[in-house]
Amino acid sequence: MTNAIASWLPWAVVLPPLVSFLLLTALGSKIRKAAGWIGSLATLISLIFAFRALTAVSGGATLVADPLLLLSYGDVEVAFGADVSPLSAIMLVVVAGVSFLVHVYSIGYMAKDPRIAVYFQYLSLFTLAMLGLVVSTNWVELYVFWELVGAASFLLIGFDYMRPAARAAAFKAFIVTRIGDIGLFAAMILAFAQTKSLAIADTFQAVQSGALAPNVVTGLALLIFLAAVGKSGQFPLHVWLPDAMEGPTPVSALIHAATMVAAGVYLVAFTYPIFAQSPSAQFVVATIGAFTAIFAATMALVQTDIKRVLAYSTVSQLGYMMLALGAGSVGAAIFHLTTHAFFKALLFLAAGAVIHAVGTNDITVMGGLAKKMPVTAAWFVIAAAALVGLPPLAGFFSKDAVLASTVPGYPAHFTAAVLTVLLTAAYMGRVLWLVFFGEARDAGRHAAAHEAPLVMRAPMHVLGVLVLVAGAFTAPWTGPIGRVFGALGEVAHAPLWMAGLTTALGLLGLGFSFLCVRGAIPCPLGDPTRAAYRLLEERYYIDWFYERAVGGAAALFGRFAEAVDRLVIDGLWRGIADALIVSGERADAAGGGQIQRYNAVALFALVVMLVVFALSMKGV
Amino acid sequence: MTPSELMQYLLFSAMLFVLGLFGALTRRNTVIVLLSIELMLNAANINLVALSRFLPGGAENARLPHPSLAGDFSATLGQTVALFTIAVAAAEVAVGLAALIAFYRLKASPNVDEMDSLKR
Amino acid sequence: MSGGTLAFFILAAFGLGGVTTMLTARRVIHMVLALSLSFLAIAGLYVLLGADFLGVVQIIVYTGAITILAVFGIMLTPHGGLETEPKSAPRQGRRMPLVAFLLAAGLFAVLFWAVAGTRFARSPFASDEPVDAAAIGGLLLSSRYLLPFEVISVVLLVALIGAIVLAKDDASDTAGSVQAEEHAGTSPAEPPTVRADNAEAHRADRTAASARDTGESGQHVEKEAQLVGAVREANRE
Repeated sequence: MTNAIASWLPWAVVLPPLVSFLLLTALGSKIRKAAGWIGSLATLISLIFAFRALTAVSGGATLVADPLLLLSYGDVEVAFGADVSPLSAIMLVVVAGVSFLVHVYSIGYMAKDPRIAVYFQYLSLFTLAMLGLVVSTNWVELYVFWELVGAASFLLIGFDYMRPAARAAAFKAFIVTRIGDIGLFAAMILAFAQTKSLAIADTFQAVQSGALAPNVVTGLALLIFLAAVGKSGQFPLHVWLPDAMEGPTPVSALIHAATMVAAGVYLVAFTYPIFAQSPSAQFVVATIGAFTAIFAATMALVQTDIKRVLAYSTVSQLGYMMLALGAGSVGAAIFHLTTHAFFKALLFLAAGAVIHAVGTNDITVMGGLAKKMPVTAAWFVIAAAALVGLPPLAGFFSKDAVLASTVPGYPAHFTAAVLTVLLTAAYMGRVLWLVFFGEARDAGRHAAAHEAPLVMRAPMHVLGVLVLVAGAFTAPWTGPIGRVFGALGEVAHAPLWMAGLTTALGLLGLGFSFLCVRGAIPCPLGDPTRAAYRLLEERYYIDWFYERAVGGAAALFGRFAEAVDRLVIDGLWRGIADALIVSGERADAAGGGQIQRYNAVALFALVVMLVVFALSMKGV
Repeated sequence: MTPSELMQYLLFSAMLFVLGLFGALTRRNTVIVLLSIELMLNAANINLVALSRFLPGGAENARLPHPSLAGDFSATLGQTVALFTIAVAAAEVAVGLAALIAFYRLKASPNVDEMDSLKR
Repeated sequence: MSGGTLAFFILAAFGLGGVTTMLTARRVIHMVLALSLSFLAIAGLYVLLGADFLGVVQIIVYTGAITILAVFGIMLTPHGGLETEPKSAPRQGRRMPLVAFLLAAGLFAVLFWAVAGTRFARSPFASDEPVDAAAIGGLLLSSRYLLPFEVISVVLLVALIGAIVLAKDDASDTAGSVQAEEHAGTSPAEPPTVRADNAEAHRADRTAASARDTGESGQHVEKEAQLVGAVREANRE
């Protein structure tokens, strides 16, 4: 790879969405129809260059582009550069690829929306921010794109801003992820304070050379992890992700399943040199990941909104990735991130097609849709099987890689992860049986259901094929793809007994949920009046706690601060103001409203000041 | 020009200034008040032009510490700033007289006494 | 005493004399003419200071435009043409010439002290050569002063538009300009909206103004104007 190509290739990946964003901003609603194609084309160009970058770095090299923007404040330099390492190359391809497919799908899905141009504008902004985040070389650049991703997510969740629920969800997502963003900001400050440089590479070097105290390294790692927890919806900041499903379904597929929520995982993987030096931080990552995996899976069991089930599933799967990172296997985490991006995006796109067809998110009123929408149903079943981890689909390999990575040293985490497989199978089975099989529970909706148009089906086909083959991505015979995964480090291969165990548990869960839905056996969670069901339905009362306790405390503090402001601070100033007004009124009574008299008073003041000034000048 | 000549000019402009000020404070007719203010501006202009005579002239500007400062401290600059003042003064008179016309329409009087709306 | 100094004192005498006449004159039009003499004298001082271009601008703008504008302003706002007030001055019109004089004198004292107490040192590179108008133009068009130069032209434009908007008759906005033109045709000096209680005094005002304009004897006009002032006072009571 010559330097000439390296200098521009990363930018060629990042910048096309910027062009389409600016184009759509400028042209706006004049090009309703073309907006989707402009966005799609820009993302396709990004995807092509991302592939080129992937092949270029498959040997393990890193592309270093010329910085586009170089700011310097005194000795501090902030370079907006772009590096593509094997890790970021994979992420670039995943982001650009899923983004492209979602763009195409959205052309069909959003066709009837009057604000379609705005939608694609936001989508372009998101793609730009996400690609920029992946290639960032500098803490400031990283932070800018990190926030930009959050802003785009906010805009897209609240896209349907006429609905109060969408507005509330957008605010919730923004505020909750901001808690995590504070972590990244603090990490940036800490890194700068310790190394006097904002370049991420300098921080890595300082960490690896042992220049930083172990406590500082752990603090840095935990602050970064806080940001990842916020973005990736890990416990205890997972509450925003299910609500984010208020956004359009393709957005859920792109942002809240495949890419943005994976940004947290990517961030931890990207800054892994820091985590690698801190075993305690790694343990925290693994524990939060494992707990989130099983915790979110339980909540998915009782949701009736198809997108919410998928959202909790996403949280759970992201927990897997964090677990793998905590256990020290970047390769397994990124492998699972990639396959998850494919099958979860496919699940969302298929769910979007279903929602598009029946006009509701509620799985309890669906049923028997496999007959009406055979293609969608087939892909949904395949993606669900991949999520459960059945061979030979992508999820089987990546999930087993995650599980295998935890075997040395993390037995408790391993147990939780294996149990999660069973839960995953149970909730996905429930959705499958309720939506696609059995009797139609709403005849009217069922009759109106139809297969999605080609522009929506085509991206599903592509993702479906990827779900079928992505399991082989780590195999050496896949050429550059295999090599680039190899560059991330050895991906543990599950022993046969483990593959058998997870497959058996997956089948058990599916079968169990089938019997449950059919009513053949009593469901442990089938009765909405039972306490356990209520607990899950109410999401362990965590949202309630945040709203009442945290929100209440904040409101209380706000009221206190307001009272202080009103009584003490305002009182002070109002006293001064009142004194001035009273004295002004006195003076005004003397002035009589005459301009010239006012002028005379001003002149008097000027003369007095000049005299005082003259007298105060000594020796003149 | 000697320092004593400069002081003649400065004292003359000070007299013009205070006389204009006195006029602005005591005359009733708004037009005269406006013209008195113009007189004060003129006094300031005389100061600018007279004082700038003590600054380096055009040709010697080449000796300034930096070429970009050429013309910045010169008689030319003093007169240019005075020119700016005249432009602003002209704008002021135009607006002032227009305001007078509008005021006259309201109160049927050109006198400053009537401009007492400042009192609540 | 050199020729320059002599010229300075003559011009300064004219300048101060004009201002003093302005302060003591009784008729507004005389005041304006006296001030135009001061402006002319200041133009002469500019020439004496080597600011030829500025002197010409001073004559055009001050003695020309602004004085004429002021005369128009006086004619458009007829008030008997007198500066001094009638004997029965209204309460709010009470002058305070003594206070103003003391303040002005105080300011002059400070200025005098400042000028007299400062030692002025002339730059060795200073010259008494007149400044070329082209040099001023060059400075205005140099990169450093181009923006202020452009801004000042915008200020003038804004002032022009603002003056039109301010002086424009609001009533003619809706009633149509035809009516306003008719109005102006019969009596250019008449303000369209006059408070009822002032209407009569105002009519008398107008008579006085037109009489003055057509060149009737000043004495007569003056008397009538005083009468008008009395009528106005009566109306106000």
